[in-house]
Amino acid sequence: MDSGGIRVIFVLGVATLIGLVGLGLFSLARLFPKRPVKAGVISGFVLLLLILVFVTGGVSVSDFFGGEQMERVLEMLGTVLVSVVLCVGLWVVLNIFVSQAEREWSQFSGLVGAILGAGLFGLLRGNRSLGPLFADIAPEFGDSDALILSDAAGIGFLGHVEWPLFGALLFGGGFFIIRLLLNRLARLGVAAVIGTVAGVFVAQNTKILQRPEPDWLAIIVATIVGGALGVALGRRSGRVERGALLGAGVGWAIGGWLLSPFQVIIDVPYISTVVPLVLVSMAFAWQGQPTPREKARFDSRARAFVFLGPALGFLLVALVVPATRTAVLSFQDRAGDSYVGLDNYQRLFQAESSVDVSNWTDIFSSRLFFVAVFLLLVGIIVALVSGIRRNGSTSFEGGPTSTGALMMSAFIFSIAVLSVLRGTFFNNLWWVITVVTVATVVGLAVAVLADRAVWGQNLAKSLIFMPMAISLVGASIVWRLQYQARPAGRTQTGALNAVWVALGRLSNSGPPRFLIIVLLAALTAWVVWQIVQRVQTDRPFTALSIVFVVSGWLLYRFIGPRLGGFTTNAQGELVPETVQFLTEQPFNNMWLMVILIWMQTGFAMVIFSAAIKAVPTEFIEAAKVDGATESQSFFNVTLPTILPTLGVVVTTMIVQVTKVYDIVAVAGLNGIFGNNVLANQMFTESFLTLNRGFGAAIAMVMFLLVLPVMVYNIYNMQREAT
Amino acid sequence: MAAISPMPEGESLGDRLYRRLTDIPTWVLWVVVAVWTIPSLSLFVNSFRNRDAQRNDAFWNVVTELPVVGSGKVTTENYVDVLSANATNSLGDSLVTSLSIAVPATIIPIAFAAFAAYGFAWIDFPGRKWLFIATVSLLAIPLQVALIPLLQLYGPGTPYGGAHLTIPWTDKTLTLLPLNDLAGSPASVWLTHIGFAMPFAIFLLHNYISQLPSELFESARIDGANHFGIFWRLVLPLSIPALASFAIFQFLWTWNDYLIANTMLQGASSAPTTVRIANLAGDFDNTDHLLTAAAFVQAFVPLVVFFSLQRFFVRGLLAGSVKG
Repeated sequence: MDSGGIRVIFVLGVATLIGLVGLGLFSLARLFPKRPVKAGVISGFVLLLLILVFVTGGVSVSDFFGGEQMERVLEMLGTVLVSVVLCVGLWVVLNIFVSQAEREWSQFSGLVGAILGAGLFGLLRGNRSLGPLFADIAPEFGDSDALILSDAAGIGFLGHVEWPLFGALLFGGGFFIIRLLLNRLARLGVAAVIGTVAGVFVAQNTKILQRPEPDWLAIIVATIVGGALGVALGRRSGRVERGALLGAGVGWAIGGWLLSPFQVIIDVPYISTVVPLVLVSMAFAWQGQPTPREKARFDSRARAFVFLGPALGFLLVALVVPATRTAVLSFQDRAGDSYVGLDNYQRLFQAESSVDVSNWTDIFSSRLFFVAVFLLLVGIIVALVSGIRRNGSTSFEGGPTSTGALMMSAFIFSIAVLSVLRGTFFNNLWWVITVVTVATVVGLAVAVLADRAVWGQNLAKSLIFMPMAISLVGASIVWRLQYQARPAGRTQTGALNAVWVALGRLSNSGPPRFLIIVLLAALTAWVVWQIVQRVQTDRPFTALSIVFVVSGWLLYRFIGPRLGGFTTNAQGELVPETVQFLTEQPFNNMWLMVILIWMQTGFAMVIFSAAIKAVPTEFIEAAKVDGATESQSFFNVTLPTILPTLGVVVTTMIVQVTKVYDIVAVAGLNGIFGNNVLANQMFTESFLTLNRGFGAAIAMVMFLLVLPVMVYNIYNMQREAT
Repeated sequence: MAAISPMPEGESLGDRLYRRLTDIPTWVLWVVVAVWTIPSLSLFVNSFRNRDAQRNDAFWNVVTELPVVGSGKVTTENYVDVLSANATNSLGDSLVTSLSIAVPATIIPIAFAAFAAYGFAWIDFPGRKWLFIATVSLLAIPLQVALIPLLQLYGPGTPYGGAHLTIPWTDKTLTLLPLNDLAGSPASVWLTHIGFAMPFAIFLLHNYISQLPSELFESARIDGANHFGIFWRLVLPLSIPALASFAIFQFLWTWNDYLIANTMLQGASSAPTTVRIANLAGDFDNTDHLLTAAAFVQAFVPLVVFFSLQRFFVRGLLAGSVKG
């Protein structure tokens, strides 16, 4: 690029930059007229980064906007503009011309004709059934050869547009004229002319390999059946003749094109094209101008269609039809040719990579299992004791402690089970249980805590909510940094391993270790003494017992087996030892789940915060009047009131967690360390090993897993709508 | 320490300590906030340290690495490498691709879903309630269920991309949606995003539009406006907050999306930023020090959008979640 060009681009680039910054500052100022500090901070940050990068870093503006990239930017802007304008313009135009229907029916008919004609011919051309009308696709060959060759050479823009344009002009103009005529015979005549012209052109340009040899029996039968159907349907709205003509025309087309075999013949198939097109055109020409009442009825019905059409159309094409097709694919073999029944599903549930229960007896020998059983017993005993105290007889009385212990027990038990049963299916289950539980609990806790904070409530909430803005890929990279394990002897760059190794060093050192032991012993002793006091005076000691367990365990570890990352090497020296968070099975799964919990907690927190604020204050005040403590009023008043919100949060998160893919792909290296999940398995099978039937089956299983959630949502919505 | 005595005679030191323990709001909140912020902070800090520093020292040592007062390992060269046009690891191309996916995928659904939401809310037609429930219940369908056929739709199929329907009992195939050459272009990605965004968009906007006061519409109808006029002149201006919420949501979602982009643009010459940094993360050669800067560049746009327009984002999340 010459120096003049570079200068232009440089100026453009600088101008764009200044414009963007100015626009940004302006909109920030508008958005925060009352919060100048926030606006100032954000704009200052943006400016600082831009300056740092462009000026200090030495990236020249012409470098960034260098030739090819500028082209791509312009091309992108162009595509964006065109697509946006097309879509919005389309609907504005469509609505305006439906409004037209009331006033100028003939213009409206003309436009309808244009759309139908363009659509029909465009569809035929898209099916590669028609050769080129005027454009030369292969100039070196003769005209007739163009009807034999496929469009392998490409047909270019004009090739795509010529047939639809022709159809639009022919049918649009024709229908417009038709509606202006008052005499039915004249209308039918014009319609016949249009149909004939269209039919002749189509027939002459049909590709030679796609010309049907008329199977007269099929044609006659199809026409009669079509006509009869048309009459039956038309009778209901009083338009019998139109129905007959339309039905007959469609029937003839089906008989002539679908039911007749394609032969390699040179005969131009006039019969199969002219007759249907004439019949259909005459069907449109039968009625003249409709009555005002008919027009009004048409308007109201068309309106709903016009408003809902595009959205529902997109839904159908992009969601409903593909989903159905996947369901069908899941019953087919790898290439999608033949049906194999439930083979794919069987394979999914029997393959060791998906369902591996071979080590299930290990559950009962794991530490987690014992902890779960212990907590279960604690929960039962506390409930029993409260029951005896409250009711004087052997009964169970639930309370925060016992419920908490039981829930913890269930959670730890699920981890114990799912860390032994391996395979993608159980991994997914593990993800769902862990992430949903932890994110909900932490989100709820943070919402409550933030509510009570005296200062910085919004800041705290923003910071916890911020990870939601980062992509899952970015989050995986962020946490991969933190899980980094460097070889022993080098500085640990990841926070977790740094803490772990430092802990190991600490618990093996001389004086610091003794100091910690002394402090822990003092703490444990004081806690024990407090607990004894409280037991004697019948006051709650839940929090204290938790502290006792933690400090007691730490004390034990510091005195005895030490705590932290270290090991003894061959020479008997103590060397640091790291934890390979992402590769050590099976708990590398849980370290990946931390990433999703990190992101989803903000979501739960925001929703719970709003829900808690929406609890009517009268409820809380009434509870206070009755003498409830804060925790009592939370568990007995607030929590039951926000139960519907809890349902929404849990169901939304279940759906999102089942779909987890990015984290395992980026941080978990696509599941090769026993941390594969269904979404990754589906991706690998469908797009890498190209076993589409199996991949489809996995997708269907994922769908079935979230189906209960869908049903629950529908049920709720239906209840609300009534 | 106080002797064992019943409560009303004044609190012992132990009681006060216990109360401090259970009265935990303030400091626990800030511990949680610190834990939540450290990972992203470390990314930001690390992106300004050169390769040497990133490999050998933890990020909190950055204070010793500042240019003048320390070892000078803090630089912006990572950003230069990542952003300059001709470097092999440049993100410039992929930023453009990301934008060309995110913008249409944000604006077009707004247009379509606003129409549909208005239709569901204020145009009475038979089957309205069940159609609406069916539409919104599609929210729960995982992306994966529709992915394989969509990839087939965009080509290169046999003989060409598009929706082909083979008619039973005849050996003929009808092409319903003749699509050509969409494979490997951003259009395939944002068309998919539009389809997937519809249920959520319709749900969100319907929530808002159905709560507009009907007296407004009645008076407009008396003045002779039809549905389209009411929509264009009344509903659309009034629903701008809801539209903004959805726009932000959708923009963040499409900018941060990895699965659809990776599926549709496999092997394409220019991939969006998420795919680029995921590939960078999978390369274990000498470029992992650029990963931090690249990830931060990718996250920069959503973070700015998020922080400036947080109110709308939160409103979008809360739509329909909180009763009353």
